[in-house]
Amino acid sequence: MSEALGAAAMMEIPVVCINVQRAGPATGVPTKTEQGDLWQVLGAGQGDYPRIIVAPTNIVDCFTLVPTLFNLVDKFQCPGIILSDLLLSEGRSSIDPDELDFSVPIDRGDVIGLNGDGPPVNGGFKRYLVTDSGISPRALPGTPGYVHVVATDEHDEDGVLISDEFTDPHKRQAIHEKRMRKMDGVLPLLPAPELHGATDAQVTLVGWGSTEGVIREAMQQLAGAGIVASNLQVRWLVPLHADAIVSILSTCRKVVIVENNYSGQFARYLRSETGIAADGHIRKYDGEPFMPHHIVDGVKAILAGSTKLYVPVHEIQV
Amino acid sequence: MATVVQAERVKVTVKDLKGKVDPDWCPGCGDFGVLAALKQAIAELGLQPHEVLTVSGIGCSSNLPGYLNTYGMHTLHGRAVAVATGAQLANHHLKIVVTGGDGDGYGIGGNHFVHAMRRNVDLTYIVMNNQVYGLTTGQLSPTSIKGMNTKSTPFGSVENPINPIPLAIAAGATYVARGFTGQQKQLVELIKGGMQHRGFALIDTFSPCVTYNHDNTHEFFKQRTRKLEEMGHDPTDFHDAMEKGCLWGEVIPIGLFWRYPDLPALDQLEPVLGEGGPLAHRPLGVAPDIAQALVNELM
Repeated sequence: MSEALGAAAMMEIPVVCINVQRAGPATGVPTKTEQGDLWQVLGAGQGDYPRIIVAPTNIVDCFTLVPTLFNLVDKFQCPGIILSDLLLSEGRSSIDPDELDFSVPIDRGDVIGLNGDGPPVNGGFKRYLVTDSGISPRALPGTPGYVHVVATDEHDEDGVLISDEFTDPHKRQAIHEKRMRKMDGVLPLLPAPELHGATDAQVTLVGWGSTEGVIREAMQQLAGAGIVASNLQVRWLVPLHADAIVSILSTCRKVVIVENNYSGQFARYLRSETGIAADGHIRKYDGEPFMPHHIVDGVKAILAGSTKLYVPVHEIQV
Repeated sequence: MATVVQAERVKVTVKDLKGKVDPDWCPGCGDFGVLAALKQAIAELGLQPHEVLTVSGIGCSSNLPGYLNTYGMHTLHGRAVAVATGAQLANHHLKIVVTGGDGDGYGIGGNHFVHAMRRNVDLTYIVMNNQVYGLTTGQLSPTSIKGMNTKSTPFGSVENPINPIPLAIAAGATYVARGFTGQQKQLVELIKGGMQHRGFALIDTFSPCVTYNHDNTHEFFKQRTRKLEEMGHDPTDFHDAMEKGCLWGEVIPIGLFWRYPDLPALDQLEPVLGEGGPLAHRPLGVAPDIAQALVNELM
């Protein structure tokens, strides 16, 4: 079904998809939580295409991210994916109503026909005009004078298919590069992740998405036990602020990645994008979210050198 | 005093509806007839190119939007009806025509097909039915007749084909017709009728594949098709429509099987679309009073 994501990217139609991760369907406990779909969304669909992926870090963030991502995908005319999980979507937390901003600015980008029609360019409209930014003029169907066809097959600037021309590698390359170039413009608009806590902490806990709350609570418990920990929580996953992450983690004393899956999906992604191999891993894949003491125990075990991979056993509470 | 000049609608001719490129279909392909009939229907209905959106999936016939000067979307194999449903709800002022083949629509797209009919989405769906997968060079399709030899069934198909006419009537389509590219005049009328119909219109069209289907040829249909209007058919009679829809053999009826104009289309049932114009043109955002009411409800 993820073929449709590629289609949206190819036709350059903005869309926001929300993936609420769980251990399923078909792979275990679909009514419980997991951070198991990272590589699914990194590779969703076929071929290469521009996409934005973001993992909200708490329940208020889920509320905030939706309009933010809509604005981005409207501007860059590509799909955007919110990688939430069951912990957030079915979890509960008390929040201050003032944190909910209902009057966020909405930016649809430049869309011809949205706020009145432009001057008709009958027959001459180039929907996929090659530009420096990669962003091409967009017109809503129904607008007089801008008739065009959008297609999942590769096409020229005017939308005419080239995939059956035997064959036009130069045009394919130019339009493909145009689409992918849009991602260069996305990264500077995204906030880089920042280190939370002391820069000279004994251990830096790296997490992504929903584990922020439990990691921060574990840090407090660790402090009580005399262990100074910091946290780098990654929210924007694609495009990734790899340089900023490298510059933060390269000065950290010990890097431990905390995530809710078996295979260390984020650890592998981080390594592929930055070359950073973590010193230790705390993973949980039993369907339940982390409790703070799971992370505390993991940090202690890793600092003691007894293991590099700590998997807590969830206490059954009756 | 200034006078308001009513802009005169430019009369659109068949020539104006020609797309940027010519079709790459095989010489003699039935799809040329469907393209010609669709252009004729749009011109006769007095529609402007920007008022029409054609949506297709993947296949030989799904290349049609590129050969027509209207807004077009050439989407995914089997998903045209799903995309068109979204487009219709986003802008219910557009005239939306879905074009594709039997494999695309009745095979991989079968689910979308059935549910769009159940919902009575205001679409005109022209299926260029050649009873074979042509673009992939001749494999068995959902409408291939039993026993047919194809690349994927070298010893003859063992499966029964789907019959889209009774399927569509049973599923809730409110305009169900069958055309034949050898009967252009009738085909134009059927398409016009479908586009004027408010609700889901299926026009299953025999559009013979001259390259990969040597059983169901132009000549095959010429000898067997009979116009429903000459058979004394009443398209408002459900039982008669079902019965005629099941006929297949020496006589294969073509024309309008079923029409049920009393059922509202999906967009007419959606209260939000009742006033305020197409969704696509409305401002986004939440008014402060509505936002406050929501917060109060949650407190």
